[in-house]
Amino acid sequence: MVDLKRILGILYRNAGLICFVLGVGSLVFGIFNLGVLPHFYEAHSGDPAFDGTTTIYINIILWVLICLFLVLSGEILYLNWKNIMKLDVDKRGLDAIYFYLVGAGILLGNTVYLVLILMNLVNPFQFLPNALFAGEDTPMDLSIIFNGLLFYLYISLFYRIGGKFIKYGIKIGDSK
Amino acid sequence: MVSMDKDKTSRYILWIGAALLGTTAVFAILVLVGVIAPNIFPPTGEPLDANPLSSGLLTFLMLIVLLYVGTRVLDFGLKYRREEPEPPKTK
Repeated sequence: MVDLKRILGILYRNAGLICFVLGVGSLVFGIFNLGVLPHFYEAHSGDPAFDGTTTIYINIILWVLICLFLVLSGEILYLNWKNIMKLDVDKRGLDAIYFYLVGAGILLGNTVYLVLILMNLVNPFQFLPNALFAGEDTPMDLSIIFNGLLFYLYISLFYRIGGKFIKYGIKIGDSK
Repeated sequence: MVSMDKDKTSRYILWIGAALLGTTAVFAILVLVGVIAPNIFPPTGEPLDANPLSSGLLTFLMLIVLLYVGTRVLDFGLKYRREEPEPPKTK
């Protein structure tokens, strides 16, 4: 029989380390290359000064948030591998292992998606319209802020769900 | 000692909670990759139409409610297993 506990422990330890290194690495890369970071969302108000500044700031904030999610996912995975190794593989322990497995799947799926976004291989979802509150009277585009915020909220959802699966994996494994 | 029936019911409750959380995750990924476009408030087609953004935000809030319910179900599943019958009252 496959030693699920051992495989999961190794997965948590190594995937956690990889996520953490990817997050910190991307953060450091971003700090030294602020000018060439990809533009996930762009402002379209028609005022070049406002659009340029807003686009740069929003995309820097998104970059930092994505890196932080990678670091936190790595941390949560790495710190839990010892909990997995302590589990008893009985009926209850097996349930806990399945919870850990689903949690790792969600966090790692999120990580892959975020890495693809960071490498600019996938475009983040754009909730239309491209411009909001833009006009001669109000020369600003707030849709970039709303789109960035929604993107962050949806990403945070994965982190929270993955974290909850792992948290309940710990609780189920502990309850005797 | 936990009875077999109670253990089985508790497992069912736990997996219902897990399914609720899983549904939330699946729905969120479908929205994020653009397979499902939330259309609660239909777009008016006007240039400065905020309805798609409002639909996206409302969908997120509904997913948060689903997440909350899933968490409560999981808590109940754990609590259900630990609950011990009350000792008979003595006069």
